[in-house]
Amino acid sequence: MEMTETFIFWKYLHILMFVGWVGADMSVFLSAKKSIDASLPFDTRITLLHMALRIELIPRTMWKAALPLGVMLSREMGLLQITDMQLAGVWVFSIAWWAVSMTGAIWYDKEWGRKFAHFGNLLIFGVGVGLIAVAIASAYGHGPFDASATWLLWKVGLYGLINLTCLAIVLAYDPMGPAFGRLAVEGTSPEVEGLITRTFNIAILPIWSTYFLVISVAFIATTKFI
Amino acid sequence: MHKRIIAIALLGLSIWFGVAQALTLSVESDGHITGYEVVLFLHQLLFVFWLGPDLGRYIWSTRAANSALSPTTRITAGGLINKIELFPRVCISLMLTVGGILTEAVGLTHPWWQMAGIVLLGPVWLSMVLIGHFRANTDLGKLIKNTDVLFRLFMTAAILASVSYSWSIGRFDTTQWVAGKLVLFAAIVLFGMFMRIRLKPFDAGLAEMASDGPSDKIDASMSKSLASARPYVFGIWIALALAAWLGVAQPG
Repeated sequence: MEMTETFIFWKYLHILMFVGWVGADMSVFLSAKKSIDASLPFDTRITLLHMALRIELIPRTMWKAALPLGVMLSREMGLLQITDMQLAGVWVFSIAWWAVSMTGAIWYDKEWGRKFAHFGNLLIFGVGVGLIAVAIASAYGHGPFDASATWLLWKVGLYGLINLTCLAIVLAYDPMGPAFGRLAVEGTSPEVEGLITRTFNIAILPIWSTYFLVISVAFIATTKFI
Repeated sequence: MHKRIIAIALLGLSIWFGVAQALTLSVESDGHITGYEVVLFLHQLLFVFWLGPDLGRYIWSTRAANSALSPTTRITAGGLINKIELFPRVCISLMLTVGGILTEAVGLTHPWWQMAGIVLLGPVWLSMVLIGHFRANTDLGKLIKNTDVLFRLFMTAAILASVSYSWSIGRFDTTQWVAGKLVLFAAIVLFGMFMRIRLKPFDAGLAEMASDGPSDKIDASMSKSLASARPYVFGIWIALALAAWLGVAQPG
């Protein structure tokens, strides 16, 4: 295929998105991991957790940006049949999805912020299941993506799955806030520390699954071997 | 130790595998993985794990310099910076080797001795980074740390000399973007050196805070040090982003 200027532009943004997602998430992971260190004073641990959540806004943004950027790139490659109106719809949805997600993440300590976060979780579930369904339908020739570009169908389906693993991280990590609340009120105890450590350890599985899947998707895009 | 040797051997094998492969650009599944694609993927991963963690490292450095936070929090932030910055350091050490092999795919062939040097550079530089990080208190670790400025000056001069010579004999006539990427890499190595020099009072401040507690003098020194290093931090990010653009667009 010919590399047009617009294709190059979207491809470049797609790679930068990868940088801001998995690359920046390393700092989030290490900060969150350090926050469960029981030998540190409470103010240090809460700062670590708070900073992890603040830095996480970068990967959170990139994860949402992957949807419209992927659509633009697929369209440029001639592998996605989509009208201009539908394309505008994808952008509007993505921006709204990002705004809901960011509102929930920034104001995680407010009641209304938690409502946004809950709504955001429903959207994540919808996007995840929806994209897996689109990938399967396209594979059978009934979807918007070119059925012969099987590598792209894998990317779309796996991105849907990544949304579900990200949702699993959010849900697995959910008890961390109340656990730190107890730490603030009750102070450290084997029970509270056990809860914090257990919560982190449960979240590890979907976290590493997400890293593995995102890197696998990038590998598929580069090699197109499937 | 054995695991490290196996990891380096696997890395070496995978990048050698890419040497003889051709550039492909296809929208259809091709059913196989070429060595070129593997090396290109490694190249992208190095970019991802270089720039991405560096953003977090920078954010944490502002916390470590923040006098409103407790000394323990700031010292913990310093420890975290040390851990996070291992990612960019590992990536910079391997980038020239992986990038050098990739240039074969775009028609920039190298004589065997040059290719041997390119392939060996990665593991050697990586070893220096790992020893400097995990064995910082040993004699060898201190030697590596103390010669970092010299090593970076040597690398910068070597890259610029190589690019100048290759340019003068027309090797870059059809791949000028590769020359641009190499010059940007040399600039990054140099910026990294200046950044580290500027951050010496910052590191010393953290060490002093850990032993003697906080003081206004330490706070002022750390803030000033961080501010003076900031242009180089941003310079590295801009140069990396430009190099990535050249790699994607391949103008010239």
